[in-house]
Amino acid sequence: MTEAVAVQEEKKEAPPRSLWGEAWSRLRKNRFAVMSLAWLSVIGIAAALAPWIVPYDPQHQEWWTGKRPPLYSHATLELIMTFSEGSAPPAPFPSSGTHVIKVKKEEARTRDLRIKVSHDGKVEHIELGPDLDADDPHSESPDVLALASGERIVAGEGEKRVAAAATTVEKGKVLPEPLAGAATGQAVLVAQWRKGERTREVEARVEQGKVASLAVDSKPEKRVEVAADEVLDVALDGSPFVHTHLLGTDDSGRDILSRIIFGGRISLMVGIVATLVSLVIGVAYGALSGYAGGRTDELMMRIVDILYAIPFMFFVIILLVLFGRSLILLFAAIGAVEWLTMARIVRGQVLSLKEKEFIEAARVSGTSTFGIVFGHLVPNSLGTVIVYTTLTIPEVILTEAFLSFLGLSVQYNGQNLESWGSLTKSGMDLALGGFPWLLLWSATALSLTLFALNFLGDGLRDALDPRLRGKG
Amino acid sequence: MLKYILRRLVTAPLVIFLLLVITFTMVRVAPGSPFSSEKATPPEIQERQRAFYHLDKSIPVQFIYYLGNVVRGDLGPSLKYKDLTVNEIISRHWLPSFVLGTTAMALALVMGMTAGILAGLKPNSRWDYSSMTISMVGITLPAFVTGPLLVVVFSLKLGWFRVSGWDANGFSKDIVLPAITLSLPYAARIARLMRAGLLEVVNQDYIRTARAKGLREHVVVLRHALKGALLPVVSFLGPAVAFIITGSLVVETIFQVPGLGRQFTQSALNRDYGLTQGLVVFVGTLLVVLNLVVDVAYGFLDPRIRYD
Repeated sequence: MTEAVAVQEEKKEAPPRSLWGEAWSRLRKNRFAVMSLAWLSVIGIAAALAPWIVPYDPQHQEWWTGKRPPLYSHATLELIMTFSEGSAPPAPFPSSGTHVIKVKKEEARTRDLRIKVSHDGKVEHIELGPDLDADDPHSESPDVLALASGERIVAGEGEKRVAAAATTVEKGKVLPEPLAGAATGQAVLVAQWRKGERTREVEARVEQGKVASLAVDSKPEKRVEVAADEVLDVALDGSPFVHTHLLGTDDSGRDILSRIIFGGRISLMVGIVATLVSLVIGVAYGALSGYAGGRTDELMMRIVDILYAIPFMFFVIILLVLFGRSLILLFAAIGAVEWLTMARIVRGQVLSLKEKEFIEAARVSGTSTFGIVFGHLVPNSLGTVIVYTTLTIPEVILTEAFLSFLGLSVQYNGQNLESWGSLTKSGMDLALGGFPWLLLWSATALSLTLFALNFLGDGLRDALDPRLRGKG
Repeated sequence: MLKYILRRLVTAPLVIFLLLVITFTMVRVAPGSPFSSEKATPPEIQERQRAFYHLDKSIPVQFIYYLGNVVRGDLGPSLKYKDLTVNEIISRHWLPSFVLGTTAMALALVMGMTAGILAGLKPNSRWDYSSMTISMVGITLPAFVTGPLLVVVFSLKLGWFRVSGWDANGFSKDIVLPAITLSLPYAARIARLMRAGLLEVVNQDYIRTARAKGLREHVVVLRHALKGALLPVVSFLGPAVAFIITGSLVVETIFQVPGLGRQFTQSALNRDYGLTQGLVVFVGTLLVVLNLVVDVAYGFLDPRIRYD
């Protein structure tokens, strides 16, 4: 993307009828290419300036405002709010009107859940430990067990929350997603399966800056304490203290817009850097191969042919699994996969260019081989290289997204770096629970960018080489 | 022609050999040992274990042992599922992948060729523009976007299909969404190739001759033009098989299809590199062989092609 912008500026400065000037004026007539350029500029600038322009910290969680649709607004709440009759309402609440706060009230009843998985991966036996809060605690072994959304379970390594959707464990069926991955032929202990949850409603009527009356579930109270992380919903009367989430919030109340912008940062960065890696390798290899010609060329291209046949995607996956999911490794791995086509293209260019008079002139005037290859041949095949670079970036972004989607997102300091791929993955999990927004937005951002890069690449090809117009 | 086939026959084993070298090196160089466990094993037992798996030999000797095993068709043990070998896991899970892959490929061919022919016969018409725009969407949208979107619409909103899962008995309507998701990008590419192929062919002399003979239009199209236009599609089938296999990594994860793709992803995430390595060798070899078959077939189909 940056290259595209750089080229553009270069073109602007050039005299109007130069190769680049002409190409630029042709590109400007291509409506799709211009639209793509506009979108890429917007998303590029947003990604570059992300820390300064995002409305919210993308990591900031407020799960009580989780899973809200676009344009959702909510009040800023203190950690613990105290309402008491006769005194002023706590911070965010305006000094008149009726405020209704829905509060989550947990009845944590923890029960042990033991599931036996047979060798074919099917559930063989379900055992629900005694409910100690019940009048008659006893174990049960139901055939079907419903796990409601939001219930916390501990399975395998660490705590997982049951997927947003309600899931069921059923005898003879495969384990549902949050528990899947447990070894077959073993009993899985799912401890702390929490049951039961209800809400209460705090209603505070405020007159002239003082709390006039207070009720919990319509029962009058003198004083109520509410912890902010238990608030499910707030109805404010004309409150100015609101956060608005333009694209809504995800399951833990993080702002989707901010997460998408930060995700774009990672996706675009990987796209550009890994493409540059492939560019350097591919151009150098292709140019040298083409210039050398003969036996050397034959051998070098045969090596490319062989490498082409190897399913590198698998190696990238193994590499990331074995050696850790670091950014540098990802750049190197993707760059090392993507250079092959670039090498072929540059070689083709160089093969035809090296017979031209200006190369002969350079050779006669005593320019070194290195000088001819990188000072004359490579710059003259720049047009093709730029076109292909624009087309490689979306491929790399897609590869990274693909890896993130499989759960191999890049880590930095032990934290997952969220890209559009991993956002799409969490979006999918949320969508299955009936909340499609994260999926829609991240998929839109990803697809629009991929579209734009492809259209721009096609546009550049047409602009730089009008003979190719309409082909390919 | 013969020279080309011979060269391909020589390169293919070379590619597979390279594949083995890379997987072997990667797994050997990787940090951690398959025998490291939380409980300290007595040194004698560790020694025996290492000897049993030939890990006490030098690296080249180990590689020769490994090569020998692979040649005999033994892909080694899984490290996570202690009582299973990679061969057993493959024999348990190849069928869903195969059924899904072939269905998707068939679907892609039908959809892609129909769209491509419609577009190619009337270039620059509304048909052409709409089918080419749709195919651009198909190429650009990755499976992990189309898959979940299809699930949201057809499973959650309309309730026509299950969200995920796979009927162990083989064919059921569970296959519909994964097969569509998997086939879309290939359908799109095939449509573009078909259109380009047709456009190339319709202006050639033998088509003009066919028309001049007074053949009816559909005969010209179906019997003459299509035959020539099919070649790019055939040559795409080789790489397409590879794409379908990688594509099914994602599709099988989305729809929880118990196939090889899902096994591969799971094994990578579980760091079960015995299984990962075995699957890479299996799938990689399959790919190389299928590519070889397609390339050779292509050489026979188009006598004009000279591979030098």
